Amino acid sequence: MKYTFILVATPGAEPAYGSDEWKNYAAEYGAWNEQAAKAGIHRGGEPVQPPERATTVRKEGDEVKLHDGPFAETKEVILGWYLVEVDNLDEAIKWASKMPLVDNGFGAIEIRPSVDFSQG
Amino acid sequence: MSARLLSKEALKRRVDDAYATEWGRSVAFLLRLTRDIQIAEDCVQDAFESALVYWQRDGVPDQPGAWIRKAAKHRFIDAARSSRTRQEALQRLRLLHPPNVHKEDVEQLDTLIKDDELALIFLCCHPAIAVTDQVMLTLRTVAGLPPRDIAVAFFAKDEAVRTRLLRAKRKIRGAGIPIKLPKSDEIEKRLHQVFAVIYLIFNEGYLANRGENATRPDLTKEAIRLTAKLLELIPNNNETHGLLALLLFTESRSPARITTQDTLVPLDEQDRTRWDHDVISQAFKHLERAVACELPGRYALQAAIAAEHSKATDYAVTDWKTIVLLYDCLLEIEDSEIYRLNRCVALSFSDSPLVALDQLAELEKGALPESHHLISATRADFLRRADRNEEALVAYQLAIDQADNTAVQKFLQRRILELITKR
Repeated sequence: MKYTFILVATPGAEPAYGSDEWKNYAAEYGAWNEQAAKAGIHRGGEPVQPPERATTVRKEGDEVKLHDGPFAETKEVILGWYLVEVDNLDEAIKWASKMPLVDNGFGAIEIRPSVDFSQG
Repeated sequence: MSARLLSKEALKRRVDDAYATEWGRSVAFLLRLTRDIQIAEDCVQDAFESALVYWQRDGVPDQPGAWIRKAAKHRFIDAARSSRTRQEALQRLRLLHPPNVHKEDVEQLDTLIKDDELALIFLCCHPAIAVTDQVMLTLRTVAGLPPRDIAVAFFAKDEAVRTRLLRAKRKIRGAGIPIKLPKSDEIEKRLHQVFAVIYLIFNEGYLANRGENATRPDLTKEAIRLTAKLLELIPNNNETHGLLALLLFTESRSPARITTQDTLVPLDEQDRTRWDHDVISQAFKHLERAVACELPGRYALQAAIAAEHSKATDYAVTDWKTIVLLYDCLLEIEDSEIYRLNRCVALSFSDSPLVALDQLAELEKGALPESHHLISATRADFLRRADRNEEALVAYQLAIDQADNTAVQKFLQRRILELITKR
């Protein structure tokens, strides 16, 4: 089954960009990616820029309205997403728990199974 | 097969008996084929309905469980063969002929079934499902309680229970929660989730048991049955023995716990001759197995505490020193406010109410709002026993204001009355 991981950080929890801690942290992601590639589960993913640079598009009446910022006014910050393909939810949970974001306690991952149109 | 014809009532009883022992087992077995809890339940339900007809005509089979499972399996296969989708298969479920159950069917099926049954229990108690849903799903799918009975037991609406069950089953299918035994290194952790669900079921029955509605299903008995089942499937697990001992010790007191006027009788005032001593001796047997290991778990320790009360002929001769030590062990496993509060109570007897008052003051500092009334009531009790009656009255009144349960408030008001008349 395919699962999308939505990575959400607690603001301020992650090490500052460019610091030594950050370099270690980034290396941990590298290791995770390598393991996932080796296990053949990696189907895609991207880190995304911070919420200040988000643009939300919504239609009101006939007009497309833009909003400068993310759609949800939450404290959490979406960092990016991954797409993995594994046998079941337990496997997905195992991979998500090993993600540096979760493992270091810097944030959470929401696991969303992909819609399977072949199932009635 | 016993061809003797049974009366309608006798037959109904035999089918009900088979239902009680074979439901969960049969759903677990069918799940291997259907991979969907709802379809498995529907097949088994239909098999039981057919049993009413065929067992009336042909007599009750020697192996009712094997009969049900084979009938349910036939039904699923027939439906699956002539259908393109599960949905269509479901609509076509009809049992045309009763199954012939052979000896080898019984043996073959029974060896497979234990793992299936265990996998079903772990599935229903999967941590990715909301805890309330785990509880209801376990009662429905493993214990076989109809949704309307679950609704009655939880004072919930029938529709709300059905919606929850449906949502949980859809999550299992949709999110790909695996229908198989957890890996061996995961079993211990997952087993604790199963214990937690069983404990919640027991507590729901224990706390809500006011006797006002005799038709309410007995959740404490269901919880005990589930734990015994777990012990049958994973024998020799110390903590399962511990949980069963704890539930049995608690259950043994139920005849003395509630008066005919439906009021709660606290432990120190219960008539101990009315405790169920058969149940107590069963509990002791399980406790013995539970503590036969290096580090007894939290249920074993709680059972050991309950055992101290069962050993004492009355409240005054309880071995409070041992109970304090057992709470110390429990607190090492898990720091919980309720353990600390109970330790204070034990200390007030093993040492003195004044010593316990100091510890209670410590505990009160960071206490959760929902424990405020318990702490106030406990402080009032310590003050009363230390003959500081004026302060005790104030504390009792505070506890009444903080409590939101009328039974508790009534009990506390009685204490106030006793204090005033003593003055």
